Amino acid sequence: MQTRRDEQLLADHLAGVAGAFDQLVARYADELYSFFVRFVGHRTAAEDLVQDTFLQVHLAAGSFDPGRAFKPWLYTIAANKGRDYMRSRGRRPAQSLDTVIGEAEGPAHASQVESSEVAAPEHMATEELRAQVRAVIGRLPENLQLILLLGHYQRLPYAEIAEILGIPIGTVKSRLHAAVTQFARLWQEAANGRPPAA
Amino acid sequence: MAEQDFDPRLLDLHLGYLSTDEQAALRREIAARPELQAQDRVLADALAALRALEPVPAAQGLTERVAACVRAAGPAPRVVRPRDALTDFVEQRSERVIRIGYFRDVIAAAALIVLAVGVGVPGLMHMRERSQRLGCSHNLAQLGQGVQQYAGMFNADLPFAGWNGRSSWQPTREPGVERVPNRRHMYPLLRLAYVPDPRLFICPGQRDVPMPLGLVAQRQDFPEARNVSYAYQNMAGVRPSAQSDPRLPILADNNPLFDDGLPLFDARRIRWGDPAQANSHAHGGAGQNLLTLRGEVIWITTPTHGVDGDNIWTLKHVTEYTGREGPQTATDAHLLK
Repeated sequence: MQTRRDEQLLADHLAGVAGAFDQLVARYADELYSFFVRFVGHRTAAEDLVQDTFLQVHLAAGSFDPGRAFKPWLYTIAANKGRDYMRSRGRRPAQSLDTVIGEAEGPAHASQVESSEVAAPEHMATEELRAQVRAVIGRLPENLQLILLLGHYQRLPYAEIAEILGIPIGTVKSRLHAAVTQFARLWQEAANGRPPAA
Repeated sequence: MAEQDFDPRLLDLHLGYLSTDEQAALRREIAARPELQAQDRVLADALAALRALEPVPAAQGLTERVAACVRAAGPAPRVVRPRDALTDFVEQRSERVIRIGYFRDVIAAAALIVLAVGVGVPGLMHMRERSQRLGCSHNLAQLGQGVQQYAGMFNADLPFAGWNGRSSWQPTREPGVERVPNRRHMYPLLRLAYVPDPRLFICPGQRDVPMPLGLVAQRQDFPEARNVSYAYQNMAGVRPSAQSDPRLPILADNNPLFDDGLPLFDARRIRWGDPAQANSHAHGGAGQNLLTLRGEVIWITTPTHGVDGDNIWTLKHVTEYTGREGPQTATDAHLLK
C-alpha cells in the first residue's frame, strides 16, 4: 500500500476524510513525546504537550500552507508549546525526572517508567547516569537545550531546524556547536567532581 | 578551557552530516593530528553521555488518547481564501494547459525553464541581496540619526539603560545577578521616540520580527531577542560619548560570535580569514553594514574596521566572556546584541 505523505494526510483531514489525522498522530506522537520528555523533564506534562500540539495542528490545519513541509511546521508548534510550558514554570531549570515526578505524583520516575520491581544495581547506575546527564543539560540556556534536542536527539536536518526556529542555517550550526561544546565542558566538570565508577 | 572547544567538522562527523568521502578524509586528518584526536575524544565522551537519554520509552495509549481528544474537538475549522479572477481563469482552462502532450514539447518547455532558472535566479538572488543590504543600511542611518538626537538631548551621552556590578549581558542563573542584554541600551531610542518605528531595528536580511508598536510605552526593554537585528556598542565598561573618536563603530549587523549574549566560539580559535566565521550572518557571511559615531554607514567585508583596525566583534585583552566584560577604553568597539 502506498504511504500517503504528511501534507496529503492533513489535506485529507481538512476535507473530512476519516482516519487521516489519526495516521498523522500515529506517525509523530511517540517522536514528539520523546522530544517533550527531554525538553520539559516531566512525563505527564510531556503527554499533555503532545495532546496540545496535535490539537493546535487540528485547529490551525486550515491555515497550513500546502507549499511547506508538515514536519517543520509540527515542530514549530511543539517548540512553542514547550517554551510556553517552561516559561509558565518560571524558567526553572530542568530537573531529574525522579525529582519532578517524585514531588508531584508520588512514585519516582525510575520505578514508574522502567519497572514496578526493585531495580537491579546496573539499572540504578543507568538511572543515575541519566539523572546526571539531565542535570547537565538543564544547566544549558533554553535556546541551546532546544537546539541540542532537535539536532542531536531528534536528528532533524539543519534546514528543518532553521525553519522550525526561524534562524539561518549558519546560526543552527554554530548554536549546535556551542550547545555540544558547553555540554562537554559541563560534563567534564561534573565528571571531575564525581566519584570513580565502580 | 581551550582544549574543550573543537573543530566544527568533528560534530558534523559524529552527527552523521558528512558524506562517506568527507568522513574518510576527516578520519585521516584526525589520525595525523594529535590535537584533533584529543578534541575527538572529548566530543565522543560528551556524545556518549548524551546517548544515556536514548531512547525514551513510549507512553502507553498516548496515540489513542490524542486522536480521541482531537476527534472530540470537532471538525477542523476551514479557512476561506478569496478566489481571484486569475485563479479561476487558470482552473477553468486547466485541461487545455495540461494537455500539452507531445514529448518534444515537454523537453522544449523543460529546457526553457532550466535556461530561465539558470539565468534568472542568480540575478534575482543578487538583486534581492542587494536590496536587503540597502534596506539594512537605511535602517542603520535612521538609528544613527536617533542616536545623534538622543545625545543632543542628554549631554552627549549615547543611549544607555543602566548597569551595575551585579549585571550581566549573558543569560545567567546566578542568584542576585540581573541580566541586562546589551540591546536594552538601544530601547530608550524607541521609548523616547527618537526612533519612531520598531521595524527600523529589523534587518531585511534577517527573519527577526519587530515588537508591537502598542507595547513600546509599557516596557523598558525589547520583549524578545528577535525584536532587534543589530549589535550595539557594549555599554558595560567605558562608555563612549558623542565627543569620542568619530570613527568608532557603534551599531552593525549582529555579531556572529555571540548568540543572545552567549559566546558561540572560543575567541582564540576563530578563523578570522574565513568570511563565514568572521562576518555577520545577516547577509550570508559576505559582510556587514556598520554605523560609525559620525553617522556614516559603510559596508565592510572584514570585522577589523574599528579605530586603528580594532575588531568590532571582540574586546581587546578578553578571551573568555562571562557577561560582565566591557571596553577598557572609549575606542575599543565591541558590538553586541
